[in-house]
Amino acid sequence: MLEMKKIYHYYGKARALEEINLKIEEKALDVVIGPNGAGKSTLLRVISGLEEPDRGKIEFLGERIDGLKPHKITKKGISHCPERRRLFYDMTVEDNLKMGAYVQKNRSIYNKQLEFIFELFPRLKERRKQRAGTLSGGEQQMLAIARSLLSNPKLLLMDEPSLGLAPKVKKKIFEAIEQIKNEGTTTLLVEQDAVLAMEVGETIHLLEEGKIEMRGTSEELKREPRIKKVYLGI
Amino acid sequence: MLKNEIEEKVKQFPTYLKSWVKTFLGGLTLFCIISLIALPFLSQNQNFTHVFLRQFTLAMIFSIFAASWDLLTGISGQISFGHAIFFGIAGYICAYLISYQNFPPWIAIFIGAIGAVFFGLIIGIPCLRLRGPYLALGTLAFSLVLLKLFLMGSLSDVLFGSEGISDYRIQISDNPVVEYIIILMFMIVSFITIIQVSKSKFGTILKSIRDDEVSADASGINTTRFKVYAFMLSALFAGIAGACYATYVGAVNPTGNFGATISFYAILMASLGGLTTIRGSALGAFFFIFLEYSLIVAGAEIYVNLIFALILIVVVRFSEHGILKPILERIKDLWDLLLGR
Amino acid sequence: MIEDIMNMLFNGILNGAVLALISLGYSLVYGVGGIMNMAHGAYFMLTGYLLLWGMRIFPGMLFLTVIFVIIIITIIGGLTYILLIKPLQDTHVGVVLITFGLAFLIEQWILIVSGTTSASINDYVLFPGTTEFLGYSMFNQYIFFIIASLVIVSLFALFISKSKLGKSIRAVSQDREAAVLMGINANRVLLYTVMISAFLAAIAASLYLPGAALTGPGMGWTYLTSSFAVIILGGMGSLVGSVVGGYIMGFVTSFTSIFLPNGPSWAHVVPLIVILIVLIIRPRGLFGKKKLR
Repeated sequence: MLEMKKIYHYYGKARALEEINLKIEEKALDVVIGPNGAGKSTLLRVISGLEEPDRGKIEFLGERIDGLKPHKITKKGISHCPERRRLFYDMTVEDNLKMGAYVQKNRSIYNKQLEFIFELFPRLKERRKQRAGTLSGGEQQMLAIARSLLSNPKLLLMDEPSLGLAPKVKKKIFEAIEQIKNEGTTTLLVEQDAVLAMEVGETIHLLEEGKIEMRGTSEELKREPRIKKVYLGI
Repeated sequence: MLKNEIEEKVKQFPTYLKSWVKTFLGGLTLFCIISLIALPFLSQNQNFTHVFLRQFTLAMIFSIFAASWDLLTGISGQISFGHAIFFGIAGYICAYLISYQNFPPWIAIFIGAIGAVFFGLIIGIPCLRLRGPYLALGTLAFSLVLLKLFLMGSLSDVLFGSEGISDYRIQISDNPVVEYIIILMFMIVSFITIIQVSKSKFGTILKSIRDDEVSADASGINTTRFKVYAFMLSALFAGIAGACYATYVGAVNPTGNFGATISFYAILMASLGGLTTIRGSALGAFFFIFLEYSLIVAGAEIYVNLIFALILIVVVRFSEHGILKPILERIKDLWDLLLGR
Repeated sequence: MIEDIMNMLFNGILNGAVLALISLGYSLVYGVGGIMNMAHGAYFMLTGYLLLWGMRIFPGMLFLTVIFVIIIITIIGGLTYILLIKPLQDTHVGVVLITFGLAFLIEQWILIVSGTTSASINDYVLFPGTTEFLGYSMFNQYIFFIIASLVIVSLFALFISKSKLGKSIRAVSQDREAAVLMGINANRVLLYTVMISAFLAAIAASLYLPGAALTGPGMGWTYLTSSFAVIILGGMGSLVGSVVGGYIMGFVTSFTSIFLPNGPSWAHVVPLIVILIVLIIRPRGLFGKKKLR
């Protein structure tokens, strides 16, 4: 579905991504793990067009999307749920969701999607009229995910959805992610919490210093001594 | 310790000068300075000294003014749209001292510049709460109000009203060649000072504030204090230019010395030359004064500002660094070609 | 005395209505794009002169001329964004310089065409005549303008809070990157914003100026700095703040010019004094949330 070929990206002279090759199959749930500053967020930003890659090619459904403006990429069916939620805090929950459906012109798909996310996060339905800024951290994260689902994306990019959440809330979010996957939405998840990531992910990519150092199913990676030591703490 | 350092610098100065002259920029600058010094001795013709030479004098005065603006906006990143405040205040003080207190011109110019520094302090402090474009509007508002105060009929006993001050004694010398030479000296000293300041540690601090105020603050720089210094230093040179301008015209009046157009000239000249290239201000000033002069000669005086505005838009829109850098690069290419490098 | 008070109140509301409309658009553009459009006052001034010329050429068609001029100014606003602001968006200094250049260009152009002298467009009011109220007579044109201003501000509030475009304008102003990720074309939203701001300035000018006078091409700068004072007072980027601030400033100005000795000339100094007081006491303004950028 998505294919990145030899992607390089620099911030000024500092290299953020180096020769990234990545292929995501339809209906898969891929996870990118790695330490802070490894370039995980940059990877997603390059896909969604917030950063233009300096070299390389990105294809989505057989079409080149690198160099396109981010709002065009969103229209093509890639939805990026950014790091630290980035809600419209002065707007109501409902308006945030409407903004999420900005590219969705079809009313019935919107209603179906809305029903699905209210089922997924019943709390949001209760707080529809509330300002997003007044929600708790967990609720805000739910809203962020819901917002990016409302465009009914073909590919969902999620950046650190568990950041700064209590373990219980984290679990809830990850259950939701699994459910989204079961509904058939292809997902690329970036996550620092390797233990949780390995539980949900099918294919795991290890990103270190801008390079993909290792990849495999979670079973394979769990057996790697280095992953065990550094990321799983066993 | 400091004394040793200075001695060291003085000792190294001849070698520094020699190597500087050998560089392209140094050679070109020296060439310009020598031509400027030689210029008045080319002809004794009345028309030459009283008309042509005086245009050079005017251009040099505005070079200092534009450079002072570039120091504040280009180097320190504090956008000023009210530079006429300093220009006008110094001019008024200078004219007042000569005309009403019988001061000799050069002392009056000096005190006028000090007065401008004082205004730099007064205006700098409240305006420091404003950043970027807001500072631009804040300073613009300040200068408009000052203009209105000076125009106000009820204050004309104190501020001389819309007539201003006019006196044949407000001049540096009645010989245009002497006037030219003195202004040239002012210009050379001002430019050396401004360029050295921008290269010094102080200049580096100002640039770091311009580029990222938050991190400059975080690294322990008292940004407020340095911004006030920048305001005062810039006001000093704007004041010198303003006082010289008063003596050049022989009179001051609100619109001629405080008018927003004066501030605009500094902006136009400096951005035409290219922001942060202090030398570019001189290029911009000479370009403008002579363009204005030729338009006046051609009888198209009313189009002067319109054309300037168009030029500013085109330059800002299409050339980020003004015209000085591209021109220098072309000349350097030619130079290298001639020398067979 | 009563007449003075009436005079002050009426003029206060009138000034407030003008300033609110100008500042609203100005503040909106800043809030959405962080753009300081120095040509904003020039739109106001240009509207006045276009009306003057237009009405001289087509004397019988006042309404049409007003509408036509408002459309032209809105288009000029759009062109300002597309041709000058958009390519320089990333540099604050660049945007300030180039929009300043535009304002200067418009001013000089008017100066060449019509000279420095002030002109009156009194003959071209849409609603001639006066109405008396408690012994105080008011221009019908102004009464209409005050009502129109209130209606426009309310419609604008409705538009910004309820319509899809209004919501996307708010989204871009709150978090541009997130808005882009929703599929919103932020540049297009900014284009509309600048056009709306020019539109509001044009409406204010075409309803207010026919009763007042064109005091020369330099008047744009006065309105620019006044509306700047208003948004400092109201809080940068706050729309409520610019309306409330506009009315406060309107009353303060009219109070100064009616009740203080030498008032009319001191009234020009009021905006600056307000800026100073606000900056010292409450730098973020009455309704501001963001810190100054």
